[in-house]
Amino acid sequence: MSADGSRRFAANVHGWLLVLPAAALLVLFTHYPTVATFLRSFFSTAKGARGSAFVGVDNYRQMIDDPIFWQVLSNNAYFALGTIPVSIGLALLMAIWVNGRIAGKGWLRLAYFTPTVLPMIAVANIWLFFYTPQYGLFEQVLSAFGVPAHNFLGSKDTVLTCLIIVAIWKEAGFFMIFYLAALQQMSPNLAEAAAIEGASRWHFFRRVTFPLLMPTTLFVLVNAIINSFRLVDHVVVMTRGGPDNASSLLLYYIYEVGFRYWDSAYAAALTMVLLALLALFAVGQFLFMDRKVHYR
Amino acid sequence: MSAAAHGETRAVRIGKMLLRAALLGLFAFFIFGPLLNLLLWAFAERWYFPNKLPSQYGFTFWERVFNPRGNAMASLVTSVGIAVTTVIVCLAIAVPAGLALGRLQLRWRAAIMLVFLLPSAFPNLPVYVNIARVFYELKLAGTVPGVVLVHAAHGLVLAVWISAAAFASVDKALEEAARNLGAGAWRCFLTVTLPLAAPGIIAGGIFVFLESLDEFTGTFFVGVPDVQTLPLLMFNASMGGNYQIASITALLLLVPSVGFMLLVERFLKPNVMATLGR
Repeated sequence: MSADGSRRFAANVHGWLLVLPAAALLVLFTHYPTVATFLRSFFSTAKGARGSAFVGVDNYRQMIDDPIFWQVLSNNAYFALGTIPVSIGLALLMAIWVNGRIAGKGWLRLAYFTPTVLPMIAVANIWLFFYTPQYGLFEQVLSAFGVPAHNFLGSKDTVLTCLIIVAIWKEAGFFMIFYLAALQQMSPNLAEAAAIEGASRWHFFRRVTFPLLMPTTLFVLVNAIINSFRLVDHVVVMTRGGPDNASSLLLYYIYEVGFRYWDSAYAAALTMVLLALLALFAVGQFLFMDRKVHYR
Repeated sequence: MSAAAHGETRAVRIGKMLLRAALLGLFAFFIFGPLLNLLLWAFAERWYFPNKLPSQYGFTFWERVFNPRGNAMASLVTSVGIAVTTVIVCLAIAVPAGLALGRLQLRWRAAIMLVFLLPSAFPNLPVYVNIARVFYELKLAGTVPGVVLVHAAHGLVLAVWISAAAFASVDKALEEAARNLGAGAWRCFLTVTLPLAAPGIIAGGIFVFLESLDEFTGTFFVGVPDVQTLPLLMFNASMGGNYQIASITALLLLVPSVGFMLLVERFLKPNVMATLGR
């Protein structure tokens, strides 16, 4: 081996040694449990004297015939479609607004951050109070405008929309942080040049700002998609999936199957479906992050 | 410009202003309404239907929460203790990894990054269930070290990402200058690289602290029933219909979060944020 080659080999070993503890912890606490879940999804749930046995894809077959699974999946898709575009749009709007020269900017930023830094479990409680029939501020303000009383969390038609609003409230500020960071990196020369050329503000946004923000938008988008499948605290606190599964999301259904019905094998199979969906988004982010989205 | 056209633009301008004010009002209600509701509950002594607002305000519930022998104070101490330990464990592991991933020309770096990236997509709940089972056998279930390990694993992904980004944004020329002036590798790291990357690493530590302080699901599965953190206390209070205690606990949780958020704004420079996830 040449001296140069061996030095490079030594540097690599150094690097791997530095990475090793972190990798070991992650493998032990996230990768290994996931593999265990994957294996479990091919076995039956042990019941009484009858132990767990290999059943092949039976758990997955059961899923296809399970109407609640399909309902929960469509609920989740609806939840994602309702949450993502609005929260990203709002985040961008707020970031541009806060980035400008306006009075009380610091306070405004703080106001946006507040929902973001609150734990989801607290957010869920806050909105539970807010939506409460009769007492809740939401109902009181609506009744001041003449809207009749309505149990928003107790009705099949409105409950999912209520959860969507909570998620937007919680997430828009978080996404704004990333947009704000990207906006502050942008050279002011661009805006000056555009102003000299006589471009309107809208035109400047559409042709310069927005394309330059593309990497941030993609990063935020993938996070938003993942979050819409990964959040569950609000369902636990506010609705418990009800009424009649109208607000149950995939992850909450997994929790129910595993801990209310004690069918751990079926829960494992459901988990694998969720994981497959999420892994798809994560890999997509990894593959697209460096390419194609940059403005040239 | 004719008088008529001028009048029209003024009408349009007033209309626009009204529209903007209405939108702003709606927006303000959207952001602050729920928080206002929380404040009402935190200070409500009595609130029965059909009263629109609490009929009596007071600090009785605050006294109960801040009672030194009450379980709220004990939860606060537990929560902060767990969070601080989690940050120490996490940074001790994440800083070397971040240095290697952000600075060294590692072979198979992409594959290693994938190992670190994937957990951010894993659903936590099934993972916690499996961990709880393993911890039960190791007698770690229901103990503080068990909860710290779960929180550290949870915060590690973000900590590694942020410190890798922080190390990557340090100018290589400065290191080379230090080496040329005769500093050894270790001294160069301690006096040049680490201080320059420190703001990003501190921000990462703050994120880990907050994540740990706010973590609910993992603590629920691994810590119950012996480890009671503030989020668990709030959950129990709320499920028991004790809205005042739940509201006050939520406010307590808000204080460190907002404080640290202000700090993060200082430490987390845009050029570090912009390299996140790249």
